[in-house]
Amino acid sequence: MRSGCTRRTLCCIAFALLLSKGAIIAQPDNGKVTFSFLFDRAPLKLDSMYRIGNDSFRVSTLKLYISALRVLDRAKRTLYTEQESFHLIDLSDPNSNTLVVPAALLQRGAWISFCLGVDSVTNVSGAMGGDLDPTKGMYWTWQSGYINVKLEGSSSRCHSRKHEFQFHLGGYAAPFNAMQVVMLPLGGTAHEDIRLDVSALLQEIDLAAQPNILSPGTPAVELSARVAQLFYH
Amino acid sequence: MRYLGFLLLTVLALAFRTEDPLFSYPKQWPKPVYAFRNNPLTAQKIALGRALFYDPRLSHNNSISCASCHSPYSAFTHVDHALSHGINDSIGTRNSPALMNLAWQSSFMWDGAVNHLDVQALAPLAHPKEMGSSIAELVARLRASAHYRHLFAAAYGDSIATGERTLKALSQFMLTLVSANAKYDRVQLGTDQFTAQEQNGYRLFKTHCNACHTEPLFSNYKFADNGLPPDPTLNDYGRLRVTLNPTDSFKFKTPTLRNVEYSYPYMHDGRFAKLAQVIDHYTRGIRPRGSLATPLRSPIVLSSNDKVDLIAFLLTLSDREFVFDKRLGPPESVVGER
Repeated sequence: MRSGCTRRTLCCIAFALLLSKGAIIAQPDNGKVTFSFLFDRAPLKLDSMYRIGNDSFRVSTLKLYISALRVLDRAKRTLYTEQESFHLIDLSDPNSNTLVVPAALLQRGAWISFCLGVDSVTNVSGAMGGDLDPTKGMYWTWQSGYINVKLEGSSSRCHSRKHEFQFHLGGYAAPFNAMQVVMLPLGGTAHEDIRLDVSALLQEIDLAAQPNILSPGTPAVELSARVAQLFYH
Repeated sequence: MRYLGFLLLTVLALAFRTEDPLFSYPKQWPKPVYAFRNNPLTAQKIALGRALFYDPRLSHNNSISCASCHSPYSAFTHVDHALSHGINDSIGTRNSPALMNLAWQSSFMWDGAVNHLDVQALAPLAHPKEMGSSIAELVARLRASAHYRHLFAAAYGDSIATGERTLKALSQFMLTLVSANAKYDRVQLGTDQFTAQEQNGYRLFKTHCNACHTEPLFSNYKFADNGLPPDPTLNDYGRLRVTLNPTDSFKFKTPTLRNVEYSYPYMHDGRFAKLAQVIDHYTRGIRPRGSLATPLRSPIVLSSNDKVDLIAFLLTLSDREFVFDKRLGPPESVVGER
């Protein structure tokens, strides 16, 4: 073999190496964090009738605020803080459940942290836009404050009018601050799916005794804590 | 005479702080608490807010505007009605407060249910006995109106109405409702004098009323129990509903006494039609209870002459310029235009 061939071979090897490195660079540097809602382990469909044992359930509305998104390292030090971090996840809007996070941060062993609801400073700061716009139907009119979680539907277990349940969970002023902080370990993929099984929540609530929570108070805080604890990954 | 007039105007002009030509107030006043940096005033946004304030399209059936319960000629309140009425002649549960000097207030409504001026309008918009509508319905109507698309474009650069823009524009107009030109203010500036009766009334005011109706805003805007016996047809316990704290029972927001001549009837449920009745409440009608405001725990004793003098002083808080200011009244092009 002459030197020309060796040079060509070396170039080919180098090119191949570069390509393999390039393949990593060519990947999108945005990772995704999605929120998926289930009912009895299957994807939750609004207005579908579900049966568990002798009880029936139907969810007509599920909207909630995710805010203050952060990624933390193994030692729980903050690596990334999302700016203007307010997301209204609305089950009736399939595009609303995806958050973008730099993929490089989604390492196995790292943590993701977010708030379920809107912080108290934002709650006293007046009218906001985007996902926080009051036209989204997640801001109380008779009293100031965001509704952090809106879960509505019906169940055979409710003795209320039309067997309906309505949970509008909010409140920002002590001692009824309903916002919750959630921290979950990451799996290390570019697409992390955070899940919540709504059937687990509905089965825990005494729907006969309390089909409605519509204002700030201890019931709203307690139920908000239960919702937060049910997120898993 | 003309020279004196010119002098007077100059003195008045110097007495007012004009950091912002759209929003001025006397030098001696405390600083406003509204966060203007989050909603800086512009003439176009104020104009949009003013158009909205006087527009009955804010109500579901196009019958009730903000001005229906907050009429400029009555210091932006609803005269003649103990409890305001709204859509379909529904009667509400409280008397509408007089709107003025809102930039100095950090909570709104008689029970402070609203924590920021920008979100106050959401309450009457959605109340079934007031406007019976919603911010979402309003924004849809504004987007469909050529007139409002024009106003939004002038105010915000593009013609798209949003909840945030609509509410902030309304705030901007409401912030311009500053009342600081009553006889009392001229006396403080030295350009006018109280009569002997008014002077005595002022002395009595400072002794008996100033603790809660603090000068120069004539309110400390705090929540207090002023000893009103509860009305069993309303059972309104005030701030308790908002905080769920039993110590807040019977506490209502202290209203301003500015323009009190125009803003009858008085109290959160409009139970007193005349100022004389208000004063009689304070001298012999107070219901003693644990939550009663401290300044009211010792009896207030006033002779008949004292009462007349006190009322004479309260009438010096009337600001005719404010109630007749054309810039604050209905805009020339109102409704009619689509």
